[in-house]
Amino acid sequence: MLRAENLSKSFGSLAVTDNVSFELGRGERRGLIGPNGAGKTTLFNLLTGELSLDRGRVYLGSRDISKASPDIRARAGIARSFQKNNLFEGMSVLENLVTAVILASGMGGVFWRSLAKQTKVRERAIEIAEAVGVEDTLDEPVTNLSYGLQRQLEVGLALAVDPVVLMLDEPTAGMTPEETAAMKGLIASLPRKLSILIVEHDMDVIFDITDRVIVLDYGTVLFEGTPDEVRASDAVRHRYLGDAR
Amino acid sequence: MLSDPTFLAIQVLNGLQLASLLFLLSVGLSVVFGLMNFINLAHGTLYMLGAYIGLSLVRWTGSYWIAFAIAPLCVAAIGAVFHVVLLRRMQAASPMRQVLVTFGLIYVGLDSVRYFWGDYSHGFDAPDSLSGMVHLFGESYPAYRLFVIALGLGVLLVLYLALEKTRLGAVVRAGVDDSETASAIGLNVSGAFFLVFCLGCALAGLAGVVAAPVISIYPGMGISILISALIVVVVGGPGSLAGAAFGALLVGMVETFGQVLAPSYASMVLYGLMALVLVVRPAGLFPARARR
Amino acid sequence: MLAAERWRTATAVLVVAIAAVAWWNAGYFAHELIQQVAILAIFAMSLDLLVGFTGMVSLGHAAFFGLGAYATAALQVMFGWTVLEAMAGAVAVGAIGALLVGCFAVRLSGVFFIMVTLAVGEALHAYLFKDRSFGGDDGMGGIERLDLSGIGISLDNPAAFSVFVIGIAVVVYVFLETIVRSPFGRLLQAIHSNPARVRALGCPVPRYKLAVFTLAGAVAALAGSLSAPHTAFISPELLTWTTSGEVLIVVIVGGMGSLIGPVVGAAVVVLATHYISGFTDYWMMFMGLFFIAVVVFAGNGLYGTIEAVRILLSRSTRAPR
Repeated sequence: MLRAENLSKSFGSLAVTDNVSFELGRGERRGLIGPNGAGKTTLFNLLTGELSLDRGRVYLGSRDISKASPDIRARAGIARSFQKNNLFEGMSVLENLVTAVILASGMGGVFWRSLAKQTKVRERAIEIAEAVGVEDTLDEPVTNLSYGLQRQLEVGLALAVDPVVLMLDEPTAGMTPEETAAMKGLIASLPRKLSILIVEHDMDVIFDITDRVIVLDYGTVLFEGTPDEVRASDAVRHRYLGDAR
Repeated sequence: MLSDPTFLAIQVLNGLQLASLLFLLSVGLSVVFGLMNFINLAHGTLYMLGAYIGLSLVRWTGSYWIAFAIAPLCVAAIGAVFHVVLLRRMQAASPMRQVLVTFGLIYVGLDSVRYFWGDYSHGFDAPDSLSGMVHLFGESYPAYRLFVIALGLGVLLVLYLALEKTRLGAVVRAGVDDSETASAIGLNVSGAFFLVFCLGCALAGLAGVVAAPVISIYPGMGISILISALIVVVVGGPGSLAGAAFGALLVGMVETFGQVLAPSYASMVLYGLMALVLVVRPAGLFPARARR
Repeated sequence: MLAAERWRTATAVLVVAIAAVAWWNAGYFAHELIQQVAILAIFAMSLDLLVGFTGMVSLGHAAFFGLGAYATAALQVMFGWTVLEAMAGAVAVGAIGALLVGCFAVRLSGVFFIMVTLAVGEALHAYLFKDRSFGGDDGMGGIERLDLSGIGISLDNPAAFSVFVIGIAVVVYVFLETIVRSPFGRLLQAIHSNPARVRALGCPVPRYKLAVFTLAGAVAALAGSLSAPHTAFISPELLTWTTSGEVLIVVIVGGMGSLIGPVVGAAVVVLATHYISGFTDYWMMFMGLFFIAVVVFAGNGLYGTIEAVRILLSRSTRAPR
């Protein structure tokens, strides 16, 4: 579904991403881990289009999206959540989701019909709210929500564009154990045909939810395998998990 | 016209003179913008105040040089007062709100000047020591205009040394590059910002005093040169000395030659230049912050 | 947002009612003021679409207002078009002008956008001031009003022209309010609220910004095309930064992002300017001070206070959880 070939990006003389290649199949759940400074967020932003590639190619299906801007990639089917909550403050939860659904349903150009009367859009937004667990707070301004619920809405916005590839940037960042459990449940409940790439620091989340894991270090792929293989790998353990095991 | 080398030389000198004034005016604007992402739209008002205060000082003391020395200090003081009273209060608010406040100040400044000095244009002469003509390229060229060019170069040199060799300069450069990190490691970025802001105000006032013998002093003089200064900031790239200098040179030349060759379209050409730079290099020609 | 919309409609109805009462009681000079308010209201609504809803602060919007006025005058006086044709042509010219400027201006944001719009306004002003083709600083005169003698009305009659202008203002309000309440309008607000987010959701932001910028330019030109027959004379003064500043002040004082707020703001500013310039020559200072006060203390303007009241009321009447 999503294929990255020889992705490279340097800032000045520092190669932050160095020849990274991987392939994400349909319905696969892939984790992306690595120590701080390994280049996870940079790789993430190269895939979503917020950063431009120095070298390499990105394919969605058979389509080359290497030079496409973030909005084109989103319309092609790659959706992302942000590491820091990036919601539409000043709007309610429902209004946030409705905005995303408007874009997904292609009615962004409609300027003659009243939005309030678009029941299909509203229903779809409520559907997504239920899928991510924010259905009880639909009319609340998002700034009133607890951090955990905001993170869940963050995922909800990404889901609203009906993606084929969902990219989650540290979804459990800053969460309490209860909130993390809720997020884990949410991700596990997502439709199986959806391919998911998750950047995470929380190892429990990675090892429980993902099928395969990419370990990044100094911008290159240190190791790639199933969660068990990663746990067993000497290289990973030495570099990242700590030798005291 | 352009084939006459003497004419060409004179216009180049005129362009350099305008560039010198624009540099004095824009360097403060540009560095403040680079530091705090804040544009003081009342900067042209400060330039105007420099000219008017200089006028009064010349009238009272009969000395151009006293006006030259004192007027910029007065303007810096006015700027400092407004910064403390008004702009600091808005620090918490968005940069947009601060910019809007400075826009309101343009109106206040305009009518204040009309109140104290009247609606008509004034002027004062260059000092006797500089009022002569110099013989260049077979023509006579006013010595005072050469002084303006020399002043601009002198200020450029002083600022360059200050930025590169002094501690304050280092703090400013760090702040322009990444103010969050600079503050985090303990540099007094906001203190540096205040000093730079006041220095920028003083330079704007200086530009006003210096410009007065060459152009006439009238209430609207601030806004037209503000536009040129904004174009310098955009074209040169915010936050950098090189940007302000090079931008001022470019804009000064284009404006001078434009006025001579096609007066109706001069502004359009300038605007076109800005548009071109923004399309090709949106961060300006010599931006202080490296593009990511 | 439903309650907010209802309150805006209610305020609009109230404004029209007040306008009707004012019109009924107006003498000759009062009609002049009413027409000024209505034209400024149209101009301000177009800017609110840009500033209040999409977050694009322009300091050069007078460029399109002036373009509309000059196009109307030129098409009528120099090319002999009928009044109606000239008006339509003026709106088209405004739209095309906005499209051309917008093509690269909308890729900029924040302070850069302000600077560019300021420069555009001044460039156009300087050209019209210096070039004699459109009268230079002498301006142009002889602009006529629409000929409705076929239905027995003369728009040279102040009361009739007031109705004409108010009527157009109402139509513009309804048109813009429809757009604001549409899915397109919601995306404009999303772009204002969080451009990075809406882009990551698939919105081609520059395209939307260009669309709203063009629309705002067209409506501003419409206001200009009414201003020309209103004063029967135009000059480059229409395109100065003071005009751009005044309409921005109207939007912010009235309450940006509400559409009806700027209409109220137009009335406030016109009446206050008229009153203050009656006893002092320095009304610009008062306008500047008032504007600063509004920005510092009441950033959401007059309609913002009405919104605050609405939110307060909705909180106190909400059932406890």
